[in-house]
Amino acid sequence: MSPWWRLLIYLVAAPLLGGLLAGIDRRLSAHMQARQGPPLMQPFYDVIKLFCKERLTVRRSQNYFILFFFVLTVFTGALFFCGSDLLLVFFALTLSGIFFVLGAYKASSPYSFIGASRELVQMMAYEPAVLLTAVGLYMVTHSFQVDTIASSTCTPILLLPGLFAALLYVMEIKFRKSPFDFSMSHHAHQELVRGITTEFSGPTLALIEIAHWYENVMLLGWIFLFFGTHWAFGLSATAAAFFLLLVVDNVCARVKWELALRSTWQITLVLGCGNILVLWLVEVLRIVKL
Amino acid sequence: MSSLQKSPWVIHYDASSCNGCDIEVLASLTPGFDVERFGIVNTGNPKHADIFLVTGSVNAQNRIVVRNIYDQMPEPKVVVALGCGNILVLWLANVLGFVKL
Repeated sequence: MSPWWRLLIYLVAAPLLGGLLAGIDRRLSAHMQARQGPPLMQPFYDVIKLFCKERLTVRRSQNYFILFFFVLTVFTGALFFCGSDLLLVFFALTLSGIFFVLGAYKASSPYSFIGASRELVQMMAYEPAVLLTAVGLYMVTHSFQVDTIASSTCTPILLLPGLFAALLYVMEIKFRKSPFDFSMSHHAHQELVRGITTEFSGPTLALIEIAHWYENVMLLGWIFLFFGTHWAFGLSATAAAFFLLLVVDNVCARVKWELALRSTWQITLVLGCGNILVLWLVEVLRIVKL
Repeated sequence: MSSLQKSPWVIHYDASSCNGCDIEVLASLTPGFDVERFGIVNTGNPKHADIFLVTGSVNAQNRIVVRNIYDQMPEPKVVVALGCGNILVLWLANVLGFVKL
């Protein structure tokens, strides 16, 4: 399919899918807690309501940072789904995260300051695993282009199980779920009032929510990328991974940032670097034997 | 206004009550009564809230706090006084001119 068609489909379908995923998330979590939970369309009702609210700001410029965060998040997902360079996708994602943090710093309240610092710590925690994912996928498919990786004949998950496990571990951070939701947390949870989103209200908060929907769809796309051309298996594996993230969210309590950072780096080092080291050793041994 | 009906976010403030109503408010969030199935979320942030749920009586000490929280909430907003602890006292206080909010 032409990249332009994929871009159009992504721009329209990703927030719808992301909102539906958020609804499924809340409903499933509720059922795990022996209660009914909100309707599946609840995130859409929330966002529509937020757009009808008054726009309160501490400083006027803080909302422009969030607008940039939104635009860059959509841009990152568009890059990914149109098959562009994976490294560029990761760097664009980092840039959009930085704008989110800058917006919170601009709001100059103690809660948003601490939330912004914690968001930076979260980014520091997940960046190594995400970059190693690009390295690992390159080693297996010899390309950084998402198009080539997605259509490669070898299935990356078979050669990169450790890296996949490390990526699932940091997905808990990216999806902003317990135990790693110390920067901001979803609806019913609070952390330092609302953490990084404390000083945003109304339409700006709605934009942050929609940006997270776009981001979540792209994150699930990363997981799907590990399964190569086996579409049916990849889709069910992605759904299973999402369900696993939900289960861990409901089971674990929130940890402090020191534990999150340390444990994420340890897992990335052992599983991620270890996987890549093993792959490299196998490659070296193969060349030496030849 | 209908979007507000589907997703009312609540901020709950206890202004010197006996905590009886507070317990009920928090109990409604538990799986037994599960108020989240109506889309109600207890957000701790007045900037995110639509409904200001006040339990207990507003007196001279927390009058400023109540006003502060109310001012931080974006329009459209609703104030709900919960329990007889505050309604009767508030009415009396207003009638007798003690408190002007």
